[in-house]
Amino acid sequence: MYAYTGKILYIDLTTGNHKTGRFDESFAKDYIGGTGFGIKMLIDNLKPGTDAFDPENPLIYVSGATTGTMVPCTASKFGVFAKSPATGLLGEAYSTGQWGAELRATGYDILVITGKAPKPVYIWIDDGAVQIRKASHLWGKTTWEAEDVIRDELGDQNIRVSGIGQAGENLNRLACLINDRFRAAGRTGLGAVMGSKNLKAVALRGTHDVRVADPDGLMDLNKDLYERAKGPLTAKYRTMGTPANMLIHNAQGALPTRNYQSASFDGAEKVSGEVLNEKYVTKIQGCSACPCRCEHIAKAKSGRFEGAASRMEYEPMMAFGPYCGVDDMNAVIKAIEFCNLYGVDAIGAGIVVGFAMECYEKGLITKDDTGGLELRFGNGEAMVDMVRKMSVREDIGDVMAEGVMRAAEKIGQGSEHFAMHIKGLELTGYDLRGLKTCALGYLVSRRGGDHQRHGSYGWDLSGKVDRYKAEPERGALVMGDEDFYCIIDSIIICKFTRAIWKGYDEIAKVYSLVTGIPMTGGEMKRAGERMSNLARLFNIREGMTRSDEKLPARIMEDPIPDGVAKGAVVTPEEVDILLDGYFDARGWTRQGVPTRGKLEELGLSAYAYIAEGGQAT
Amino acid sequence: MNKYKFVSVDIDKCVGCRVCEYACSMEKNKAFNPTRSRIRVVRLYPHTNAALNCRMCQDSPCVTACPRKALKQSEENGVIHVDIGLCDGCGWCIKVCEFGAITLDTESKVSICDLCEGREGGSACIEWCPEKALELTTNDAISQKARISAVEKMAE
Amino acid sequence: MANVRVQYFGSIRAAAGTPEEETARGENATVFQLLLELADAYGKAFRGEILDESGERLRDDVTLTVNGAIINHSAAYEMRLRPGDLLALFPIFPGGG
Repeated sequence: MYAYTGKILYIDLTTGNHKTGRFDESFAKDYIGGTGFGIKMLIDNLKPGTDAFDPENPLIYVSGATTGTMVPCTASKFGVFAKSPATGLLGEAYSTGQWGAELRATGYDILVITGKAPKPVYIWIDDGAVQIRKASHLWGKTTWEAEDVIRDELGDQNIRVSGIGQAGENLNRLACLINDRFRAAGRTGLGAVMGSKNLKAVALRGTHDVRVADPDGLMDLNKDLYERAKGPLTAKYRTMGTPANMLIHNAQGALPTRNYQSASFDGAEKVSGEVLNEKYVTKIQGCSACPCRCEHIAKAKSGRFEGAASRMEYEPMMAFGPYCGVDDMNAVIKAIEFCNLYGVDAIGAGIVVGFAMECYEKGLITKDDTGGLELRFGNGEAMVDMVRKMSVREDIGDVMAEGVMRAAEKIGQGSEHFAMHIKGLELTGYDLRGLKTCALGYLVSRRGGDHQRHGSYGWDLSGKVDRYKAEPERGALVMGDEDFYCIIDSIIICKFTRAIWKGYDEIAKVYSLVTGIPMTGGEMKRAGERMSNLARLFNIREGMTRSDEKLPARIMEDPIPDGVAKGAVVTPEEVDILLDGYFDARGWTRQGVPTRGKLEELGLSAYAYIAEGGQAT
Repeated sequence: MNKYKFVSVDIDKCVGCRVCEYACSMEKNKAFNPTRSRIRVVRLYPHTNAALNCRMCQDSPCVTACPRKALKQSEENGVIHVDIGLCDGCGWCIKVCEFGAITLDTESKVSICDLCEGREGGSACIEWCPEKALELTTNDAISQKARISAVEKMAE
Repeated sequence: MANVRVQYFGSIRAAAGTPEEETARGENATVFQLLLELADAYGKAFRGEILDESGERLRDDVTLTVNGAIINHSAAYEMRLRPGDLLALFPIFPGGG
C-alpha cells in the first residue's frame, strides 16, 4: 500500500506493554481513514456498556488516507475516537496543525490506547520505538507548559504533542486534546478519557518517507488543486475568516445570544470579525501543507487580559461573546486562550458558562456557589474565571465541569428547560429555531448537538429550502451532507476547502493517485453511507433510541423573541416530521434502526445483531 | 562581488505552512518527508515563521570543516555538492553552519539545497510556495534593496 | 423615489469596500441583474465572491435576503426589486469553525 503504513499500535497503559497489528488493503478501501477507521476500530475494540472513564475505554488516534502528503489541506489532519464521557455515545473529534503528519511519519496509522497507568505518564513514539515515560512532573501543568517540558527533556523542539491540561486531569467532561498550541480535537470530552488513564500526552517524532502511488500524477493534479485552494472559493477564510459569521448570523437572526434567549446581540459589532481583524489579529498563518492559510492569531490589547493570544474562529467567539452576553473582545480572546491552556472545548465551555449565567441570574445558584463571582451575562471577567473554575473543579465549577445536561440534572429547578444540548453535547453557533434543515442535522448528528457532521445550515441559508419549514424531504438532504462529510473526514480534507473539490469522483481520483487503491466516486459515496450506518449501530448498541433525539426545551417552546427570525421555533411535531423523513431516506426503521437489508447492502451484516437487539457471536 | 543566487525567505510573508518542505522532499526523494527537505521551516510561538536553507556562503564553513573533504563548492553558482562516497555522516559541517542549512539525510548522509539543478522551472520550493514568500536572489540584490528602501525613507 | 439599499457582509463587504449603499442601479432590474452590475462596478474580487466560475450563476455558498427574508437563488433571476427594498449579501461558511 502507498501512503497508508498499514500499522496499528496497541498500547496497554496498565501493563506498560505495546504490540503492533496490521490492516490490509480491503480494510483501507472499506473505511478509508479518519472517520471510517475511527468508528470501525472503536466498535470492534469497545465492550458494549463500558463506562467512558473505565480503563477499557480505548482512546484511538487515526490518520486520514492522505495524511502526510501534499494533497492540499489534508497533510496533518487526524481523528480521535473513544466512548464519550459527555454523551455516553460515539466520541469523535478531529484536529490538524502538525501532529497528524508526524503520526504517519512514525510508521503508525492508528493508535489504540487502553488501560490506566498506575501513575501519570506520557507516551513517546520515536519512529517505530515506543516508550511510556513518567509524567508526574507534568501533571497540573497547562497543555503549553507540558509541551515545552517534553520537548526540552527529549531534546527536540520539533516533537509534536497532543495532550491534556488540567481540565482533562480533572475529568471535566468537555476536556479536549490540544496539539501545536492552537489546535484541538475539541469536542465530546476525549481529553477526560485521556485523563482517566493517567495519560498526559502522546508525543511523536517521525522521519519515515510517505510515498504515494503516482507522484507525478498527484503533483500534476496538485497544481490545479493548489490554485483552486488559493482562489475565490476560499478567499473568505483567508481574509476575514469565519469570524465574519458574527455579523452575518446577527443580521439573519441566527446568532445564539445569552444562552439562546435571543438570536441577535446588541454588542455584536464589538466582537465582530471586522473589529477582530482590524484591531486584534497579529498574523494569519497556515497548517502543514496548506496553501489556504487561515489561522487568525489575535492578541488582547488592553485591560486585565492584555497580552492573551489565541487562534480565533467564529464558534468560540460566539460561545464567549454573544452567548455569554459579553462584548469585550479582550475577554473573549482570554477565555479562548484559557480553553487552549486548560484543555477544554472552546465552544462547549462557552455554552456551559452561558448556562451558568442564566442559572445565576435566575437565582438558582448564588455567589456562594460561584466563589464570589458576579456571574451575570455580560461579565467578561467572571466568564473567564469560570473557565478556570470549571477546569479545576472549583466551587460550582465542579458541577459545570459535568456539562449542561448533568449540571441541569443536579441543579434542577427548571434549569433543564434551558440546558442547551442534544444527547449531552452542547449546541453550537446556529440558532436552530429558524434553520430547520440545520436543526435536523443537529438532531441526528452521531456525536450529539453539532454542526460539523453535516453542515446542513447551507440549505437553509442558501434559500434552496424554506428555513422556517420542517418537511420530510429535508431528510435526504441531511443524509447526503452527512455521508459526504464522512468522506471529507476520512481522507481527511479541511472543510474550509471542501468547495474546491468537484465531488466524490475527484476525491476518489486523488485517493487512487495517493494510495494506489482503485476507487470510484460511487464506491466512495457508499463508504460514506457505510460509516454513517456503522456509527448509528454503535450508538444504538450503547443504548441510544429515537426518544434521545430531541431538541432542548427552549428550542421547542420558546420562540425567537425578536429580529428577522422572530417567532421561529421547532415544535415536537416538526421534530417528528424531520426525523421520520430522515429515517425513511436512510432506509432505517421509524425507530431509527438500520434494517438488515441496508446493512447487507453496505457490507455490515456482521453488525446486524445490533439492529436486531442481539449479542455479538 | 558575491553573485551566488540562493533561495531567500521574506519573514513577513512566510506563514509556516511547510509546503516548501513537502515540495522539496518530493522533488529530491520522490517521497513526502519534511525531515529530508533541504529547506526547513521554523515556527516560533505565537506567530513567527521562516523557511531557511543554504545561502551559498562566499567562504563556506561547512566545506572548510569537513575532515574528509567530502563537500565541494561550485565556483559557478556556489552550490555545495556532497560526495556520498567520502561523507561518513560525522556532522561537523552541521555543527559549523549557522543557519542549520545542511542537515542529516537517511540516504545521502547529509543533504543541502542545490537550487534544484536540472529541474525545469527551477526551485520547487519557490514554485510551490502559496504565499510567494521565497525568491531566488543574491546578497547584492538584498543589500541594494535595503539601500533603496533607506533612501526612500530619508526622502519622505 | 427611494433607491434600493444593498448591504454587504463578510468577505463580500471587503470586496465591495463598503458595508452598505443606496443605489439607483436596482431600478426595474431583477436581483440577478443588479448583482451583475455591482460585479462590473466592484471588479474581480467581488465577482469571485458572488458568482461561480462561469460568471453566469450565483455561487451556491452565498445567502441573499430581500427585506430580511432569505430568497432562493432561482428567485433571484426573476424577482424585481422595488424602491426602498433592502437587498443583503452574505457568504456561507461550510465547515463551521
